[in-house]
Formats: sequence, structure tokens, C-alpha cells
Amino acid sequence: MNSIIEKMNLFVSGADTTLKFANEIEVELDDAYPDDEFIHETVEMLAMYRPEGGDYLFTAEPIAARLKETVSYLKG
Amino acid sequence: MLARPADGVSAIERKLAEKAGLNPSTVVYNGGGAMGDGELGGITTGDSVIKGTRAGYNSEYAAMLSQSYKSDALNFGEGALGAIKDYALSAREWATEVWSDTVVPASNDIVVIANKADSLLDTVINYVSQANENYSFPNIFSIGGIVLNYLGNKEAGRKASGYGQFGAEFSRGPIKLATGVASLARAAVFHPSATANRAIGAFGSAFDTAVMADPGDVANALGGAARSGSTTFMNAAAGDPVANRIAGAGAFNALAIAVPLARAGMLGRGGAIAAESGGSSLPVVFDGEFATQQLLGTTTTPGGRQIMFHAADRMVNPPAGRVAMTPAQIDEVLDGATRVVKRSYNPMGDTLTIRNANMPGRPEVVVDAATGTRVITVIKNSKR
Repeated sequence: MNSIIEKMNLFVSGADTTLKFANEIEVELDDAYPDDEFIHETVEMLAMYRPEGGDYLFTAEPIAARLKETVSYLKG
Repeated sequence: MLARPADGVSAIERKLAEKAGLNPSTVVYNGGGAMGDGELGGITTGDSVIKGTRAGYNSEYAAMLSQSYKSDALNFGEGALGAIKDYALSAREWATEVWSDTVVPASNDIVVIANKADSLLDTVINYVSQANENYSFPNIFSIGGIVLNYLGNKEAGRKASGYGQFGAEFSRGPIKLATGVASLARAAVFHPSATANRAIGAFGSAFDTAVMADPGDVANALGGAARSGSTTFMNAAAGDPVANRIAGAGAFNALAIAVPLARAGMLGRGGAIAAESGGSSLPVVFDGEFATQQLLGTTTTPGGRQIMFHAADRMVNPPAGRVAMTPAQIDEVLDGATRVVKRSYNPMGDTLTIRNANMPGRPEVVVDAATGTRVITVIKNSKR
């Protein structure tokens, strides 16, 4: 879990907000918590992440906010 | 600029040398630009550093070595292309190595192309010409027409579509030369000033993202760049005639302004673009449909649902751990849905997440709630 949290924190900090990195987080979260609805929503948001934005897509800012919540959620 | 490590061997060089089974500290790096001094396709390198390795390898190797040894980081370039595949160096590694002061755009794989691409193109063409004569590469001939047209009439070859087509065609060939990057990379960064205009045209057709920092490049790259898949960053001042031309072309999905090179790559939504630094706003129509067509060969599913670019991108280039989807599978998910996972708020309008648990990978498709026919993204797990 630590690895995922570290990655999410990296994204939140802005150190790495690349699409590739977001995809990594997306898949790791999905694999680790396949039946968790909160996490699944995060996964979906990540699947709609595009740094440059676009219709219905999320940019780094809302994704970072969601990941911050997700980190808190996982830490309980 | 490229900072030389204490022992004179950069990380890239070290990796390459090790991969080639050579001692990094004893390799004589080709400092002259493999594309200019050597030949493509692993026939020779400028300094014959690594003769004898497999075809298709030398050029990448030598090119990388040569570019990485340039004292002027602007010369970083041509050879990095095909090597992306072999060495899987990330954009950050590249850019950090070459432009230590550069913030890498938020993209996936990045290829940096800079000077000397004129010679690159010439060399590619020369190579192809030689290959036609001396080697048996059947698919070369599928692009030969374009190449030979160029050889026969350079001016004709300079026409916009020629280069774009050339790059695209070449990228589909079996020989992954420099232009093979088109099928390997997701983005290209063209460095300012002397960036080779023709190379942009050549490569532009196949990249999802092109970053061009010199308005002159933009002008000259119009044909090829206009074919680029989705996103184009360029540095063009407001009112710049070049910018106007590009804007008029309307073929880009989006533009961003970036000075210096691609700082962060910020784009506005839907192609309404904001300047990042040093540039000015340059609104351009976001042509997601065009980009989707480029990726999928269609913009709709067989059932008539509209596939938006982001979804198309994930269908064709799924993240690691996900698997590709076809347009027909999108219909299958939506028509055979076992569950509407949820309705989500989105500033652009609510979305629906639809799952078909009966299909391998339990794929999910996110569509707009308003019509249910706009496919926004897809999630198909490779494990479930």
C-alpha cells in the first residue's frame, strides 16, 4: 500500500503528473482494491485524466484533489 | 544543456554501451551525428564504433551516442527516435539528461528532435534509396513512390503532404529507423530555432503530440503537422502570420504556447488554449474527431456511438495493465451491460459508467449521461 500512497503523493505534490504515471496509479489502485467503490471512483477519474484536459476529462488539479482524498481514505 | 558526468560517460551512453556489450569507458562515441555521418539502418556508423551489431541497431546506437555527445543540446535529436523502443527511456530521463533546466511536458513518451533533421531526412532518403538497390526490404517499396518522388523532385517533395505522408508511411514499415518513432512514441518535442522544418513535416503526421517552438518551424511543417494526431504545442506570438496560418488550418486538436521548450505543456479545455510562458493565446479548433479517426480509422462504433479522442487513445494505447478495445467491443459493453456502475458529476455534464461483467476483463465504458452515445473513456482490465 505504501508504494501506491507514495505514488499518489508524488502526483499530488506535482512532482509527476504525467499521463503515464497517472495510468500506473490507476491500474495499481484497481488491482489492489478491485471491490472498493471509493477507490473505483478514483480509478475512473484517473481513466479520465488528460493533462491537457478536454471534454469530460479531468486535468491534474481535480485528480490531485481526488488522490489526496484517496490517500486519506486508505490511511483510514 | 547536457551536463557531462565526471567520467565522461552519460547515463544514456552507459546504457547503450552496456546493451551493446561494450565497455562504456572505452567506446569511441560518435560525436558527429550519426545521421549525418553514418548511414541509417545499421550499415555503418560515423566512426564505425559498433560495426557488426545487428542491422537496425547501429543507427539507433550511434545516433544516440552522437546526439548525446553534442556539446550543444539543441543538437540532441534524430537518433533518439528508434531507441525509445529498445531502451524505453522515459521522457524525463531524456530531457533531464539533455535539458537539465527543462520541465518535461506532461506526456507519455517523449522524443526530442532538434537540429540536423534536414540531414536526417536526406539520410533517410539516401538510405532508402540504397536499400532499394542493395537490400531486400520489400516494404521499402511501399513507400518508395513517395521517397522516389522526393528524390526526383525535391521541391515537389517539400509540399506539405509529402513529408507528412512520408513520415507516416515510413513509420509503418518494418524497418524502424528514426522515423519508426512514429509508431513508438506518443509525442515529439521540437526544440526552438534551428529545429528542422522538414523533419517536423515528416514526423508530424504520426505523433499524438508535437511540440514546436519556432514559428518558422510551424510554417514549414504545416502539412505534416496538420496531420498530427491530437495535440500540438507551438510557440507562436499572437498575430504572427504563421500562427494565423496554422490556426486557419484547423487541423490541430489543441495548441499550447511554450517558451522555452514545452514547459509543462498546459492546455486549455477543448482546445481553447492559454499561453504557458512567453507566448500568447492562440485559439484553435480542437479536432478530436480528426485525432480519433487517425487512431482508430473511424470515429464511431459500429452501433453509431461517438468515440471521443481520449477513449480512442486508451482503446489503441491502453495503459500497462489494461488491454486494447475495439469499437465493436464498446457496443458490446453498452448493449450487453450488466450494470450501470454509477452516475458521476462532471463539470461538463454527468457521466455514466457502464460495465459488462460477462466480457473478459469486465470492461467499463464511460459515456455522457445526456445522450449516452459519447464514449469518454474505457477501462478494460487485463487480469479480470
